[in-house]
Amino acid sequence: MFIARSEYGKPHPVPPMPLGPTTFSPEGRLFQVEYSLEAIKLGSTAIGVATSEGVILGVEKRVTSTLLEASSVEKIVEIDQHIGCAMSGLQADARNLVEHARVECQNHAFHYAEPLRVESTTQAICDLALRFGESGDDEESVMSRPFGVALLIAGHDEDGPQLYVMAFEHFHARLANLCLPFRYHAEPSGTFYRYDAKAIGSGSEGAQAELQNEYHRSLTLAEAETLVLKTLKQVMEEKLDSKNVQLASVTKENGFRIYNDEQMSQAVAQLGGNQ
Amino acid sequence: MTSLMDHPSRGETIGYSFSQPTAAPVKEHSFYPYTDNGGSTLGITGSDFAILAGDTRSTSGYNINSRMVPKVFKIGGDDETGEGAHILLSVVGFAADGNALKERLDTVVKMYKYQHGKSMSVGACAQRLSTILYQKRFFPYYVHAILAGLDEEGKGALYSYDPVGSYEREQCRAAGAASSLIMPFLDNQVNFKNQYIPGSGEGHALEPKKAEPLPQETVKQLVRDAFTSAVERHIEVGDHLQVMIITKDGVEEVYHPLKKD
Amino acid sequence: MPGFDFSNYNRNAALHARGVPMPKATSTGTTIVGCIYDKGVVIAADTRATSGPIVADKNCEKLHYIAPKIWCAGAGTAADTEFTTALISSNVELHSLSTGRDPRVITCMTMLKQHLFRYQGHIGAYLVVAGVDPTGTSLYTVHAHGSTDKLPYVTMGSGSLAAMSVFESMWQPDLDREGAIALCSEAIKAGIFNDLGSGSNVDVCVIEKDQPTQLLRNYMKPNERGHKERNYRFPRGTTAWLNQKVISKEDMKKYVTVETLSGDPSLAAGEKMEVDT
Repeated sequence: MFIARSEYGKPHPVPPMPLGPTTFSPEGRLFQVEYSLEAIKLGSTAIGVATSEGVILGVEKRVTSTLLEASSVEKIVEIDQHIGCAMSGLQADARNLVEHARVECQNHAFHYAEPLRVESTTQAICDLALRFGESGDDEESVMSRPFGVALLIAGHDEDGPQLYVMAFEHFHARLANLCLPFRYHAEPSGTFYRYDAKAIGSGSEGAQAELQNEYHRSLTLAEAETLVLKTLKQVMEEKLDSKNVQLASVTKENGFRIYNDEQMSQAVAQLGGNQ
Repeated sequence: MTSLMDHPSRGETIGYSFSQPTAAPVKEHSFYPYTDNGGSTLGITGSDFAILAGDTRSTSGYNINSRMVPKVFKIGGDDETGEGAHILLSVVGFAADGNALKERLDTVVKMYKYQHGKSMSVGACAQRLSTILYQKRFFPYYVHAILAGLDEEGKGALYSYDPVGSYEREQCRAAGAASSLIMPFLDNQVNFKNQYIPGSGEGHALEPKKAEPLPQETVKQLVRDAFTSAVERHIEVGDHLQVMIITKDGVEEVYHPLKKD
Repeated sequence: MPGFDFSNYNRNAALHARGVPMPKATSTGTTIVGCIYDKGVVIAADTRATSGPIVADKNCEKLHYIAPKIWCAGAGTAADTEFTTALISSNVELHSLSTGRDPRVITCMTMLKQHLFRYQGHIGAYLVVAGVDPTGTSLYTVHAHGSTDKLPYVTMGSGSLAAMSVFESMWQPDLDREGAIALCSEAIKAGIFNDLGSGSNVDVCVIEKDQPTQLLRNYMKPNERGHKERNYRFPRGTTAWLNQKVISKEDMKKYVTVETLSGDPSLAAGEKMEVDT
């Protein structure tokens, strides 16, 4: 339970009311939403780069122990044949969102005999991300708190390759407005934006600056792959190797493909060769 | 004095010698929610158009409910007039279900545009109509539906359905009361079934006449001839013929008079 | 052997109990009317015969001859109206012959109701009987179960309500011949256009004292066939065939007598049949 701070720091005349996740504090803040941003801030770095040929997703795996089986760290997952997703933050929360997105994609294919558009998939995830707080009478299960995760959604449809970011906005705004930390309260969660290249997670500040410098419209898919790895390498605490990063691509021809060990080694070797 | 009320036992009811056993059989009250409103519909596609037609008579039994109840609808239009629609739907069978189905599909197509920022393709609409129908597998929409539009390549597309959602893309289809009269005519005149190329061979070597997309004017004539003939031999078909033609330029709707007896 | 043959009754009942459907009879789901006027009586009928929702005959005759001055309009099962009227017509003529008098409409009506009552409604004939006899002008209805009515204007069949609506709004007690014909045909047209069991044309029969009876076949044709926009003649050779066998006239002469007729179509045997083109 959270104790409401009274306006002048005086003791409250009546016992303080417990605040739910969607109840404003007297200062007009939503603590649970703010805390969810902190969770994202702690997340591992994930990067996405969109080109005309397709989209590359990359994440750092944070292999914290030599005894940890690196292949069990799953931070890039498939949503549908044409859509993949990289996450940063609470992975368990991400599983919920991804599962929801997968169901939406399958439902759409079942009803319309066509793949769900990437933007619509992203919208479907954001719809779920908004469903926290008190449950209404007619509403079924509602989350007790906001999701503590940010997602990079990469896909390909009739509009070509696309990259979307969900839930980054709070994080981004928080960093940009450290002196005015509560300006984004009107937008607790559930918004998304489309990007050419985007980094999320703990190293995103530096990574985003790097992407800003290096990105251009005529990038090839191979160049994008190198850019993602290079950027990850710069912001990672550990030394980058083929085991502690994971790449994936989405192209028109092959849809979503996650890199296997051999492809990872190749990509990392290529990076070494280029530098 | 003994009251009859004290002896309500069923076996000993007092009555006349010729009285029927009073233990009346349990009365079954049933409600049949469907009616057949007759009428017929027909669809034919060409290389760059699709035609959907239907008579406008609505019947129940030997009665005419109305002489002007259209069976062909524009789906996904911008307003009540259907302006801007790119899909056509015809429904024949139980008119109330037909209307409900039309309204539902129209809503779905409109919602789709809001949700996905693009118009629904006929192929997607065809699959959606199928799932709508199958969702009511055990209390079906009592209709034969035909969906028409232009596919992604601009070719005429026609999908026909049974009441529970089984569907197929076809060149032509007749549905409703006079479908058994019109369909064989269409097989012969649109797909050239049972027609061979004179002098192209002997016996089994005789070449069947190949079906190919017909010009729009020919198709319009076939549609009108099909209905003037159906009217002659089916009592539930008549009054007016509603014809809708969908091309890349939009939907054209025309009415022709039919016999009214 | 007179009467009906019931020898297949038990077999058919057994088949029906096992789910074999009974055959569907052609029904003259019909509009028939009758109306008396100052000097005689008019009866009229539509010309549609149906089998379920299908039009079996577009121009059938529902006005049946009983005697020169007694005619009958029939609704219900086509075969029943035809056979019942033919049977009664036959008996009426025999009766007339043996009594040496013109037959009376009431006699005919009585014979019909007794015949129909005997069969408890299983003979599905619903009739309008009209005529002129030494007692005057008569108009009756006879129902399949044997009940009858005597009225100045009558309607029967599935279109009876539509037709009666015309009589009830337009009938007058002092109609003349033209007025009666017009009223009856208007009533039939109401049936043709508002009852799906009725359709096509209007047949009228006018019976008047000291006038020959007039059967006005197809008195009105308000439903001419629509024309076809395309030509549906197939080029010769369109139909596939696997083998042919030519039987010459000489070959046929071995088995039957062959006579050659001239090209004159009037010499061809049988009535000329109406064919849809």
